[in-house]
Amino acid sequence: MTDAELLQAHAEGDPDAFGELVRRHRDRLWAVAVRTLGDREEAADALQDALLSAFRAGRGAAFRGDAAPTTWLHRIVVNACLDRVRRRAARPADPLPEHDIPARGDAVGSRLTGIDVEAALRTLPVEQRSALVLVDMYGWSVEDAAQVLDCPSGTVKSRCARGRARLLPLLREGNPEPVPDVPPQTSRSHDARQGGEPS
Amino acid sequence: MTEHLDADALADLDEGLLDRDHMASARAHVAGCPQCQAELAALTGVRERLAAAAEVEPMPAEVVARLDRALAEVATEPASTAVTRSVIPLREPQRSAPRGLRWLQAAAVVVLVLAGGAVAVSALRGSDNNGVATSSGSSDGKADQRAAADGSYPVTASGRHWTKESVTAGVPQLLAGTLGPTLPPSSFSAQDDASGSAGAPRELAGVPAARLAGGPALADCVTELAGGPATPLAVDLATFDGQPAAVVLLPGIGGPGRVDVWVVPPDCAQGKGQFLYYANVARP
Repeated sequence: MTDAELLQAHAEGDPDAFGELVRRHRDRLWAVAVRTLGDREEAADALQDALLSAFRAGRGAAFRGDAAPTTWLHRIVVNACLDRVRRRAARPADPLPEHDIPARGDAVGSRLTGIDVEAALRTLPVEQRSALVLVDMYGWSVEDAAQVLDCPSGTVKSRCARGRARLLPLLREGNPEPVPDVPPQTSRSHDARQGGEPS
Repeated sequence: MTEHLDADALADLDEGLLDRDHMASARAHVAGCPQCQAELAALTGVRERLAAAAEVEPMPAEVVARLDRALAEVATEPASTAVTRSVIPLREPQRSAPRGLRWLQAAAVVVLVLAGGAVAVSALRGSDNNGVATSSGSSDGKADQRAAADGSYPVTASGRHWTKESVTAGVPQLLAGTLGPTLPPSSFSAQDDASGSAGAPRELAGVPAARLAGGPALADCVTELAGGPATPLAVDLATFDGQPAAVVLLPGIGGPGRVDVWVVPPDCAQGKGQFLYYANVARP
């Protein structure tokens, strides 16, 4: 069965269809949530909220073929992640844990790379972060990312460009400088441009 | 020699975001500037580092187990109780149509807004004392208070041309009922007239989504969207991406802080189960 057929079966009351759809995509959705939130517990919570929401939204309502089911699932998951970040920003008393719980059984090498990049990503406004996670990290086309992020393609491009410019000093090749441990940014902060004269 | 490009300008150049004049001068500069060439190369390096960090361990077993439990739990709920919302007694029309709904002629979309945590009471009662439309901005807060007090909700006919971006951004105004005249829902058709707007007030004649302004058609539509009866948080008659539609806000999946935004065609709940757009957003 295709993803769309599974979603249709779910809409028609098939009790197993949605679970199968989730099994197919959960690792990818997990990865996007982890990289977008930079925190595995938060990612687990966001995924659960999102998938329950998707389950209910998909029940009794025929899926319209204007977006691939994976795009639709990613959209719900990414939205749940963005909402979490924004709510957290609105509640300073409830900050993100300073350090992520390290994943178990991770290869040391890839984890080190991942942790540097994750920390660097967390310095970005979440809108830039989510665009870069989709486009640069997971290879989504700008158009598909725009569907996931519910914004025009041009906005995705500019979020990506601004995010890369901001990451440049942090992720410059051969840069031994540790990424500063700064709290995650929201869209309201750090409007100042970064960089200036290249060194 | 022009000035060096800063990181933002280089990233914009790289992404093709500069306008034609800036693009030309930036290219001309970079062509003769090893320093900016190196910065551009470093931006490519940033992309490569992001791509190289894509790998994340598979979803941990305990998260899989938790998710499976949650999905199994929701799957065993009958659809009608999947979402804990109470039944709305949508009343028969008792009054004549409100005055001054001329601007509705163009409206073809109904927007229903349902918010998290709303308690279903006599859903439409608030209109009895607050029936006539207030114009944009003048009734901030009132509608909210009203909804909180007795479970009623604003039904507006903003006639706006919603898009998926604008409709999610417009949730606060939709919830507050400040986007246009607030229609007294009790004045709308209670006849679930499949042919369209026959039972709607005269002012709404010809508005395709008018059947969703209240009555059983709205109740059926909401039931279909929510998987059970629910009290909307707000409804707006408008258009969506140029098509006639209704925006229905419902209590959001995920708790009282959430709002489900549904955009439906005028024939919602006539067995087709179609919707034009869905989003679950934070309640403002």
